[in-house]
Amino acid sequence: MKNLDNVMIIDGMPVEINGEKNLLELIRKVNIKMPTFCYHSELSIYGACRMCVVENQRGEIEAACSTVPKSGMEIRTNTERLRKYRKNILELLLSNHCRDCTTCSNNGKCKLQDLAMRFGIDQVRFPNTAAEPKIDDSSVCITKDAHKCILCGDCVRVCNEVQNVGAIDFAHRGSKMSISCAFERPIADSPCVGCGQCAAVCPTGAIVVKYDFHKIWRALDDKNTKVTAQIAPAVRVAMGKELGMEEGENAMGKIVAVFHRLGFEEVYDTSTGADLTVLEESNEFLKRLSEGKADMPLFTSCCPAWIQYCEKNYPELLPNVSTCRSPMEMFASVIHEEHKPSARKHYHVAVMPCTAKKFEATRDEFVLDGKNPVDAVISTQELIQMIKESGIIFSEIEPEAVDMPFGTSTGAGVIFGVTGGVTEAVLRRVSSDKSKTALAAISYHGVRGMEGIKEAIIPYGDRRLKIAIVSGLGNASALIEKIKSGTHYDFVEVMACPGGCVNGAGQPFVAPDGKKQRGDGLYAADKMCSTKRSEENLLVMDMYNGVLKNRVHELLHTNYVKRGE
Amino acid sequence: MTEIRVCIGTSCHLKGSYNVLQTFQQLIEEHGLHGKIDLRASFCMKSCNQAGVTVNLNGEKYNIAAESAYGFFEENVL
Repeated sequence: MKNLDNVMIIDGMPVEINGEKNLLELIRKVNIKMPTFCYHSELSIYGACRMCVVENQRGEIEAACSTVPKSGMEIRTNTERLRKYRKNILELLLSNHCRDCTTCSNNGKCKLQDLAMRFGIDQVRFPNTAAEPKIDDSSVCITKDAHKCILCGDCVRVCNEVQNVGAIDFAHRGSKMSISCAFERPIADSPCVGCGQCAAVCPTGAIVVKYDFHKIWRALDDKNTKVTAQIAPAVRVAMGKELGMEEGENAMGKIVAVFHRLGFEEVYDTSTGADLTVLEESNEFLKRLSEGKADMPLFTSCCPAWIQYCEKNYPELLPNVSTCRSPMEMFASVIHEEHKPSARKHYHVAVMPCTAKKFEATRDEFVLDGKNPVDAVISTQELIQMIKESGIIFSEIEPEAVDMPFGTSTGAGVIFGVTGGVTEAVLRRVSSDKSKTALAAISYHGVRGMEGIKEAIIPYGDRRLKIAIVSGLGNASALIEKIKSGTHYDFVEVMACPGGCVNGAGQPFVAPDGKKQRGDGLYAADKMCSTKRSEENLLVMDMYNGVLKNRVHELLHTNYVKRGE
Repeated sequence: MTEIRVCIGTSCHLKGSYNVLQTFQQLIEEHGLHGKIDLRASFCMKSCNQAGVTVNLNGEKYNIAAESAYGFFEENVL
């Protein structure tokens, strides 16, 4: 029986209210595509863009995102007045907006462009009075172009609320208002950690991921350069949607095939690097436990945005951060060593779901023979751009396998791309019960799922290890405060992006339900791997007697130091 | 040259023989003993009924739990 006390009318249709927080949620539930700029279900409600306006039975106009649905309410979403209002708002936004759509890197993905088209804006009656555009390209991760900003505040809220970084905020008032770092400093000198979540939520091209793939075309065209690539686990499950496959579908084979066609001589899977990380991190963890240094947890170090966040905000925790390099840097060091004897130049490209990796690849800590072993980092979005530019039809290409000598990886490495994956991989290594039931038990101990903070207790010998898994830097700082006030953990995994690398800012933007599909895609890929545990990767075990002999510390570890003032 | 053989037969595998191998590997690297110790995996050493992973150190068989591999190496090998 439907509860008739809880019904409201939307465009003449009776709709049951079922605990929705605002009108907008309810309107979208009945399949009306309500336009918005400033509404994201994970963020607080701001009500700035006024695109989601509705008209009630008294003829009043209110924003659906900030109105609570009540029984008996009657609203219309598409009246003459509302259309006129929306068009006027769009026209005013466009009047001060850079309209160089064809040369904007967000061309085709821009909400402003999309809505202008949807509402048929064919002219802008107002002159552009905005000051000369200020482009901030000081950061290696993102570019901010004030001229394309519509002041919806999405970036400000994601930076403050979700990530607790607070690098950007509104500055000045009225028509002079802009998004800025403190004291109008460039982004590179701000507390920004390069996670890129601001670029992920930006509805226009005002904050975009910096594109580096032009360098790669140049290297590929040079006959004297051997170009190799590594592909991160999270990339394979996010490519499909934009290139005609399902969200979360594993496209690894196709990506490898495309890379071979583009002229890459060797293509590897970063999961192999992740196996190295699992072994090194587990060793470090077990050593700390046996030395009784268990007063404070060991924090993972795979996420470069988390590392920067820790360096800038919690330098006192740095001794507790694992000394392991990230899988990308570990693997790149090994690949670099392998190519050193060759007379040809070697150029190594990493395809990552991440914007912060671009910064990681400029760090001095990892320099080998005068340069960082990663020459260029490109995001998944850039890879899609490269494929489109090359004219290769992705859906038609036959999948291929990764190359030797680093062609084997395990399921433990593959799940690194999703929150809880690093922990699960380490637990598979640390656990001394190697049976199939034990393997399945680890995944049911609370390490899987898209929640921001997860906890698990795992038996180890006669001890019980307490583990925390956080994604989203806001959750990380909440957990750190909890640890400082006395809660004990043995191991803490941190990933800066909510849900882990699969939702990194370098990935194509995805709605909340698509995030889980990507994670599930990686767990499905893990199931297809015959080896599930990193220590059973014989290729990696062999490295310890070969390239890594006596050089484990030099090639795989580092020390992070305090940054910023 | 010290010879160490770690059993990776089915029974020892389930009891964590790769954990033992990894620990030894790490300790060899840490102490720089690459030239002095010959560490290898081996198939079944016919001690499946014993508790723990079978390790053959210079011809002598030991059965150790994966968690105590660290202590074993420090006591018996170093």
